[in-house]
Amino acid sequence: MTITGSLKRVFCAAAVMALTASGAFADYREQLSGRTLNVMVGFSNSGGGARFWSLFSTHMRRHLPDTIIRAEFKDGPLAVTGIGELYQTEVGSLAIGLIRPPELAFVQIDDPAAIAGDLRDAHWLLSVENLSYIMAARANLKLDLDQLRNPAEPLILPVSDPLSTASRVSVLLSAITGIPTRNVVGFDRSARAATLMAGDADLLTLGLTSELEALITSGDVVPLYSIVGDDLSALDPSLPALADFLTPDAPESVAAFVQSARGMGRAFFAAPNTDPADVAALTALLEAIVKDPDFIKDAQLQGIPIAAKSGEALAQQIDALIPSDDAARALILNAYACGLEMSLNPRHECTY
Amino acid sequence: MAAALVTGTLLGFIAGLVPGIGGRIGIILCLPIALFWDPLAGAVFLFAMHSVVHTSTSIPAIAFALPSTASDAATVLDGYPLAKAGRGGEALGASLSASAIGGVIGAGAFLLAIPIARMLLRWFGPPEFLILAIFGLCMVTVLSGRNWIAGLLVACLGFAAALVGLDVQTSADRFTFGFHEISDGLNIVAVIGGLFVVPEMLSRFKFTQSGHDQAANTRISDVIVGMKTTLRHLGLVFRSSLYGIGIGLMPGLGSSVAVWLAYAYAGTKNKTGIPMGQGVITGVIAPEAANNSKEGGAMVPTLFFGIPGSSSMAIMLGAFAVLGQPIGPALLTTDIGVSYTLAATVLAANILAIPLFLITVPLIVRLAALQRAHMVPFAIAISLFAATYQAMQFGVLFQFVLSAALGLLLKRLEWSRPAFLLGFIMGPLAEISFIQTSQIWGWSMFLRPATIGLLVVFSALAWKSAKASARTFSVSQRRSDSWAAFALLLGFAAIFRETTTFAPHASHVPALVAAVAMCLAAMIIIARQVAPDSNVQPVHSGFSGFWPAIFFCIGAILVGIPLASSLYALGVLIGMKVRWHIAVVCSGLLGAVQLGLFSLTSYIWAEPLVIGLWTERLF
Repeated sequence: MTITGSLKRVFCAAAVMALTASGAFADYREQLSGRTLNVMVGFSNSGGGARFWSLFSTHMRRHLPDTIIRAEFKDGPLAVTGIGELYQTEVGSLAIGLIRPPELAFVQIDDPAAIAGDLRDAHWLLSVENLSYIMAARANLKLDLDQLRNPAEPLILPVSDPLSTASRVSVLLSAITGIPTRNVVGFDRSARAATLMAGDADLLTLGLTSELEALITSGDVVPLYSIVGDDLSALDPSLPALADFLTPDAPESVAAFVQSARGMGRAFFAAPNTDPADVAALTALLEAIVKDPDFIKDAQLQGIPIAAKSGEALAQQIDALIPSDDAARALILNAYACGLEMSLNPRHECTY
Repeated sequence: MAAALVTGTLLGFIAGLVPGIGGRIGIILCLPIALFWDPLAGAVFLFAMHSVVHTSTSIPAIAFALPSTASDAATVLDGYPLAKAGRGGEALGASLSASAIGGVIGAGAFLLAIPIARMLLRWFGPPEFLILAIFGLCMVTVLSGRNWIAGLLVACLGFAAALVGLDVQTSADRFTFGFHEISDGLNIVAVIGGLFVVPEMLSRFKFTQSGHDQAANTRISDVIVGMKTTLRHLGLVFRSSLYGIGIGLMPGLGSSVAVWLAYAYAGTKNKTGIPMGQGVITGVIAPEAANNSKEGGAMVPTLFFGIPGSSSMAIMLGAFAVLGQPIGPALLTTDIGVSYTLAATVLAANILAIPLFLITVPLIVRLAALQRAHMVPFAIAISLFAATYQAMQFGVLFQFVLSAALGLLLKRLEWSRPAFLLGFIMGPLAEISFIQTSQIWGWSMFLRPATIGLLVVFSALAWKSAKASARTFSVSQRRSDSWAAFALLLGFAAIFRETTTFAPHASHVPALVAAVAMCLAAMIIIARQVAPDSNVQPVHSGFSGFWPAIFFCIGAILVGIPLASSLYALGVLIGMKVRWHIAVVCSGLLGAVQLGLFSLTSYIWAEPLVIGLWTERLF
C-alpha cells in the first residue's frame, strides 16, 4: 500500500488553475446573477443521464451562486415538446436545453411540423460529449460480407428503445450497408453487451470504452467496422471503416448523417430569441465549467467522460445533421424506411 | 492492504446504517478515499465497503422499519414484527449471520466460477428471465397466505403501477395522464417508503408500554440466539444464496428480484403456522442471505467481462477506471491473483462485519425502543430523503403520499403489501422479457437447456406451493374486502378502457393485467355473496403521537429538516427529563449531522422546503 505521491502537486496545480479561471468568472456572473436559469434536460432523470445532469448542475450552481437554476427532465418524446416550450420563452428570460441532438434531429427530419422550432436556429453553446463508435459482432458470427448481407433471418441487434440514437442509426446502417438487422428493444447498456457475448444477439453498435476494450481483448466481441471517431487506437488499425461496408449505391449523405449522429453526444443550446449578451455569458459559463479542475476531477471520479466541442463546431455539425433541401431529407427517410423493411424481410433491397 | 480492508468495512457498515446512502451513494462519496491507496488496495477498499453495506442496512430495516431499497423491504416485512414482539435481537442476529454466510457463499461462488465464468454468462438470457418473472409473480400466492386471491389482485395493482411511463416497445406514454414527471415510471423508493414505512410508523402510536420494555431489554445473548437460529436453517441460507448468485450473474436483472424470490421461497418452506409478514424468522434469513450473496454473482460479469452485474457494480466499474485497476479476461488468467484478492476481501469483510454489528446493535435497539412515537417524523423524513435525493419533485412527494394511503388501506384490509411490490418489480421484467423472447427466440426458447432446467425446477416448486395453498384456501368474508374489491374492479375497468387508446403493441400487457384483475376482484365479491359476513376485524385507532408528527412536518417546511429535527429532538429530550445542556448538545449534534449529510448528497433538503417549493428548485 502506498499513498499517491503526486497528490500534493495535483492539488497545487488545481489551485493555480482555479485562481486563473476565477478572472473569467466575473463577466458571466455579472450577466447571470440574480436571475433564474431554466434548463430543459432532454433525457431521463435516472441512471447515467441523472448523473450527467447532477454533475453539471452542481458545478453550475458553484459558478453561479446567485442564480436560481431550475431543471425539468423531458425524456424521449417529451423532449420534442420541451424544445417547443423553450423556443417560446419570453424575450429576456434565461432558458437553455441539454439534449442529445441526433434524437431530435431525426424527429425534425421525419416530420418538421412535429417540433415547434428549427434546431438549426438555436444558439448552440457547447457540446460536452463526442464519441467513437464501432459496429461489433458476436464471437462466432461469420464475418464474410456476402454472408452478412444474405442471412435467412435479419441479424438481431439489441437496443434500449425505438427512439434512441442507437436504434435510428442501426436501421439506417442496415439500409446503407445492406446487412439486414432487426432491433430488439429493452436492453440496457450492460444487458446489450451480455446478450452479444452470450451469442443471443448478432450485432451491436458500441461506444469505445475501457469496457469494450476488455470484451474485444477476450475475443467475446469482434469489431466489424468503425462507424465514427478519432480515438480508435485500442482497436486493430486494420479495422475497416463504414465506407468499406457501404453498398455501391448507398448515398454518401446518409452515411455522413449516420456518422454525425452517432458521434454526437449531449450538448447545450439556447433558444433563438435569447439575448446575445446572455448567449455569450452562457457560453463562457459552460466553457469555464468544463475547464474547471474541480469539475474535471468530479467527472473522472464519477466515470463520466467529458469531451467538449465549441458552439461554432457544434452548430456546423447540426447543420450537416439536418439537411435543408427536401431531396436530401427524403433520401434519409427513404433509407430509414428501407432499413425498417429489411428488419422484416432480409431479402429486401434498397433503391435510392 | 489490511488498512484498506478495515477502513472499507467500517465505512461500508456506516453507509448501510444511514437509509438513503447505502451502496451506490456510499461508493461515490468514498471514492476520493480509495485514491489514497495503490489501485489494488483501492479496489480492496471499495469491495470491502460494498460487501458489508447490505449487512448493516438490515439494522434500520428491522429496528425502525426503514428500508433503504426494494431489497431491504423484504427484511422489514418479518424483521419489524419480530422487533415489535420483543424479538428484535433475535431478528438482528439472524440477519447478521445470514448476511455473513450469504456473503461468504457468494465469494466462494465467485472463486468457483472462475473456470466456468464465460459459460455461466452464456446460459442465461431473456427466456430465462421470463421464466423467473412468471415464477416470481406466482409466488404472490405464497406471500398472501390464505387470502391469496386478494394477494393476486394486489399484485396486479403493483404490475399496473409498474406500467406507468413510456412503453419500451413504442415509446408511447402509458397511464401518465400528462404528468411528465412519471414518464420514467414511478419512483420505487417513494413507493416502498409510502407502502411500508408510513403504515409501520403510524402503528407505533398504538404501542403498549410492554412493547417498549421488551425491545429495550434486547441483549447480545438475543443476537446470539438469532445467529444460532440461522445455523438451524442452513439449507434455506444455502438455497437463498443460490438465488442471489444466479440473479447476480445475470446483468440487467434487478437485484431485488433475488431477494424477493428468496423471500417467496422461504414462504414455501414456512411451517411455523405464523403467516409470512407477521414475524417469521426465515422471512429475515432468506432475503438477507440472497442480498449479500448476489454481489458474489455480480462480480463475475463485472470483473471478468466489464459488464456490470448490478447498479452498484456499474459504479464500481467507473471507480476501477479512476483507480487505474484493470479488469477483464486477464483476471481469469495472468492477473488471477487480483481475482483471489478481491474474493478474499469479500470473505474477510463479511467476517469483520460481525463484531461491528455486535457492537452497534445494542445501542441502536435501545434507541429504537426509546419513545417510539417520537421516531416517526425522523423515519418519515429519512424515508422521503431516500426517495428524493436524486429528484426532488412534487410528483415524488405525491407518489409517496399516494403509496402511503395505499399502504394504510392494505394494512387495514390485511391484504398483502409484499404482493404489490412483487408485481411492481416482476411485472416489467415479465413484459420486457416476453417481448425480447418472442422477437429473438419464439417457441425455440423451449429448446434452451437453461430454460428447460428452470421450468422443471420452478414447476415443481409451484406445484408444491399450489398444493399447500389449496389445503389452506379460504375466501374472504369481510364486507370491507368486498368494497375494496368492488373499487378495484371499477379501477381496473377504467384501466382496461384506457388501454384501448394505446398503440396495439403497447396495450397487450396492460389489457391482460386489467382483465385478470377484474376477474380476481369479481371472484372476491362473489365469494362474499356466497358466504356472507362473520369475520369483521376491529378497526384500530388512537394515534396519540400524530400531532407531534404533523408539527414536525410543518417545521421542516418552514425552517428545513435539520433545524426542525434538532428542535424536535430538543423537545423530546427535555420532555424525557434529560438535563438541558445534554439535550442541547445532542439535538445540536443531530442537526449538524443531518446538515452535513444533506449537503453531501442533496443540499436542497437543508433549506426550508418552502423556499424550494416556491422557487421550484426541487430536483
